[in-house]
Parts: sequence; structure tokens; C-alpha cells
Amino acid sequence: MNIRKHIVFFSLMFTVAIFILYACAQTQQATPPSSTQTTGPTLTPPPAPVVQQAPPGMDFLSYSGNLSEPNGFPEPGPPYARQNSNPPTALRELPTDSLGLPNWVTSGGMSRASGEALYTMNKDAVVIHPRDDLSGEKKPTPPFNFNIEIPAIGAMPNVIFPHFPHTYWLDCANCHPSIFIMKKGANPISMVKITNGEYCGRCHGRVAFPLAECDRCHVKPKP
Amino acid sequence: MKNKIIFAVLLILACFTLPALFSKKVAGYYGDIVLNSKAEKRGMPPVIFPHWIHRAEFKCKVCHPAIFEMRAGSNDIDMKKIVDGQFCGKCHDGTISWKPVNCARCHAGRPGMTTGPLEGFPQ
Repeated sequence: MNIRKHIVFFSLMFTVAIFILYACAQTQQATPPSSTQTTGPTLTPPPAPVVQQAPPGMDFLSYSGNLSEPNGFPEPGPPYARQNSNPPTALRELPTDSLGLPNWVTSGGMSRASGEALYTMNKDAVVIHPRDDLSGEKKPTPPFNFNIEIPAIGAMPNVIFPHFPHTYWLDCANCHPSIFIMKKGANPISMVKITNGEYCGRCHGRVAFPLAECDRCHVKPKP
Repeated sequence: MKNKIIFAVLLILACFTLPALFSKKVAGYYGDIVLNSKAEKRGMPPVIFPHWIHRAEFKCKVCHPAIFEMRAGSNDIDMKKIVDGQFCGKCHDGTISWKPVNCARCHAGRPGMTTGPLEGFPQ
């Protein structure tokens, strides 16, 4: 009985301590930065050195504060504040896939449809409007619909490679003929090679959606 | 008895701290590319190229393969070339996008990172 009492007491104390610490951290974050206090009835003139405007959003990986004031608080506000350099915040309107990453195919205006045509244009689903060239004057080349079925080993459903979303993002010269030879069956693709960064693995698993999403490529069940 | 109490306290502590220790949260995003073939040799932190923000504005074909070859480390990028208007400098010259004057905006990596996709994400 005594042991149980002690355990209960210690656990209660610990949770209370954690709660207090958490509350302290919250209140500290909520206080405004001291450097913004410029107005107010002060007898002494404001300090002479002008606070240099911090180049905002400098280090999006680790740095969360003001560069001219390394110990200060982060400065919120557009356009390059930490909030906007934070991908989950900036990309929150994009549709996501099973891993929680943005689905660039559907957000670019294409959505998966059932039946023969795997991808069709869907104007309502457009979230982003990526440009076709640097100036933004070039007319977008229409993507063409051409699906290639690639047989898979074992019970895995066959792969259907859709040219439609790939030509939306890419030019022919990106893949042909350096990565894929333009002849059916001329590319000995395997998952091992893809994981090692050949064929589809040149982009998928690095920048395009990860290989962990099997069901985005292996779509056609075997008869 | 004392041992048991200590054990219980440690257990409760572990419940709070172990998940924080073992969840390897990577600062960055899927598709980020680390460029460190020259940066660290010349005394700068490695460059982190975020694909996600560029992808929301431009299609892949804008930059690949005309400006950048599609393999990390295969482009001989140099600060002088960027200022002269090659590679990143094609946009980052003050006209299309911001000038490369804030070093830490690109040189945001930690020392020791290797060139290639940022590690710690599902492949």
C-alpha cells in the first residue's frame, strides 16, 4: 500500500511539474519582442543605434529568430517570415497523399479518374499554377495522354506509366533518351534499380513522390 | 521499496522523454537537396535547395535540364557564376526573385552534410 501511495504521489508531482514548465514556455513565447517598444512616455530619449531590419526568413532549417538580435524572438509577418518558409504551413492547401506529402499531380490540375483514362484535367482542383518558362509568356504545351503498361513481378499489380502528368511537368528531353530509351521493352526496369537511383528512381524517391507509395504506380491488377 | 519508487519515477520520466529522443525529426522537407561540393571547403555552411517552393511556382522543365542537370552535384555551381547570371542567378538577380545577398538563406545546412537529397525522409 505504501509503495502505491508513493508512486501515485511522485507521478502526480511529475505531471504537475511538466504542466508548470509547459505553461511557462507558452507564456514566454506569447510575450512580444522587446525591440518593438518604441512608443510610450519615456523621459530619456530612445537609444541611438537603429535596430537593423533583420533579413527575414534567413535560415529556414534551424534558425527561428531575428538576426540582428540572436537572442530575441522571431518576427512574424509577411512575406518571408518563418511561417511562410515553413513548408507544412505554406503547402497546407495542397491535396496530400498517403504519406502526408503534397500530391503535386492533383494540385497541378490533374486528378485521377476511373476507367481507361488515368488522368484527366480538372479545373476545379487547381491549387497552383506553375509556369512553363522563366518569363511566364510561353504558352503551355498541352500534355499528351499515352499510358504504358509495365509488367510487374509476382502478385504485384502491373505498373501503368502515365505520360500525361509527366509531360505536364517535364519536357521529353528530360527523360528521353538519357534515362529511358524510347522503345517498349528496351528498359530493364526493376525495383532494385529504382531504389538505387536509376530509371524512375532518378526523380521518384528523391524529389517526386516516394517509392513507399506503391499504389500510385502499381495500379492495374493482373487478370 | 525505495528501488521500486525510483523505478516508477524513472518509468514515468521515460514515458515523456524517450519519444522525444527517438523521434528523429528532420528540419527540412521532402525533396530538399544538399549541395556541399564546394561550400564547406570554402568555409561556408552547405547549401539547402528547397524543391517544394520552386515547384509551386515553376514546372520542372523550366530549370531541368537547360539550367541544371538533374543530378545532385553534377552542376558546377559557383557564387561568381551565380552573380554573373548563370544557374541560380538566372532568377535570383533581383528581377524574377531576390538577389543572392543574404548568405544564410541558401547556406542553411549544418556542417558535415553530404551532397544529395536531404536524408531522413521516406524513399
